[in-house]
Amino acid sequence: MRRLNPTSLGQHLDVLYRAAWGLCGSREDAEDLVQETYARVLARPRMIREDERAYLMRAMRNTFYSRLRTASRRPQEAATLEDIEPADPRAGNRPDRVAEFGEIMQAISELPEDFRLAIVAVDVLGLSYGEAAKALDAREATITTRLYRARQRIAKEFDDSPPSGEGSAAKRSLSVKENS
Amino acid sequence: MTDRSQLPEAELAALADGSLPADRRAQLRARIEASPELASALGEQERAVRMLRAVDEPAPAALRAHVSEMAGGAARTAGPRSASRWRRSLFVPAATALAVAVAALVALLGSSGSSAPTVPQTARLALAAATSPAPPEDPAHGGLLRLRVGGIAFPYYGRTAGWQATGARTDTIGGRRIVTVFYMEQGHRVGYAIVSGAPLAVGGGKLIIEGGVNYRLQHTGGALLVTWRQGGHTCVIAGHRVNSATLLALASAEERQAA
Repeated sequence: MRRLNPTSLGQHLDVLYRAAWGLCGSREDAEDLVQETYARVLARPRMIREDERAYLMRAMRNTFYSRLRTASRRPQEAATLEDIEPADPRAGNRPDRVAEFGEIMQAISELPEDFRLAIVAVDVLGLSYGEAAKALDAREATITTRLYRARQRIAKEFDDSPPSGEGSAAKRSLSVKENS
Repeated sequence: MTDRSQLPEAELAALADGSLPADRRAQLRARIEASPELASALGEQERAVRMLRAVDEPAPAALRAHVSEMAGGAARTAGPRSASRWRRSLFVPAATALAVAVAALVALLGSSGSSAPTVPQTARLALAAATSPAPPEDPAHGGLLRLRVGGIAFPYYGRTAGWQATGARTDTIGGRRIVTVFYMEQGHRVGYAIVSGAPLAVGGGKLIIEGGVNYRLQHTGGALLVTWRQGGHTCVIAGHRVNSATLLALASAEERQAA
């Protein structure tokens, strides 16, 4: 057990922000989720056993669920602007980099929740399988299976190879810079 | 042929991200060489790993500043734990009473407190009088005015929507700068405010989603307002006797560019 150092938590911000975007599917919600997670964690002194990043992942998952519960209780009237006005002329104005990143995060956010949490914990946050299992309260074997299937869906989603056979769903085409 | 249901999923996942122990790696590689299904499954895993590990989107500067501020505050108030427990129990009632008194004082003084501004406070500014002339159109950036807050420029609606910028004002609440530009069209007036720094808490009202942006439509004191975020900052546009479609069109039609 050791005391969580508030000043060292900032170093995880970028990766936590990306993870939050993967969980929520939108930049604005990701910002809210990260802000609320940090606010909760920093509200009082904490003693932690695990890695800081794993601790933050657990805190963020709890905050995420808590926000979902709150949102489900709050009556919310949602509509699209198309009901009122023509389409937003800004659509497509964002830099390619953001669009690509946004597309990947959007694809993650559309995965089933268990798959989403596993891939966010391991491939976005960079936790080990063991750390991810602890953070997500699941067995390590369960995490690896979910991770495998989540990656499989993401790979298929961005598969650039020509479709073989009929009825293949529209796939997102994406060129990804490889770090070699 | 390998039955897909019999794929060693955990091992393939671990091989793809480099976490499979060395002693199991060679054995799995040998199986993969003999099986196109395994090779294909590994290929998918590796492609997803490369894609996900290549993303490097940083957190917005405003969020970073806010988290840093929170962490700094937490570090300052943490102090040595050993002696703090009894003191805390002794002084909690007094501290609570003091906090209540301070909150009451802040409420009495209106916006002069040190806490972050709220959306209603910002909306009041957007409905207040101008204190300075309107900024001119920016000839270098069509559709924008020559006034920016945190890299976000105010829109110039004159050519498209007919709304002319008529004035501006700058206020500070809780150390945060709030800049407002006022626009008029056929006797109707709206105020467009941008709050610098970390996003304000926004909730309630009617949520309208367009182009990935969440717009909140709310009523306050007889006025209508729309709140949204851009570049990590909070934008509020408000007006009396202006309908929601007009406000939403103004909120979503701007073509500001980050500096």
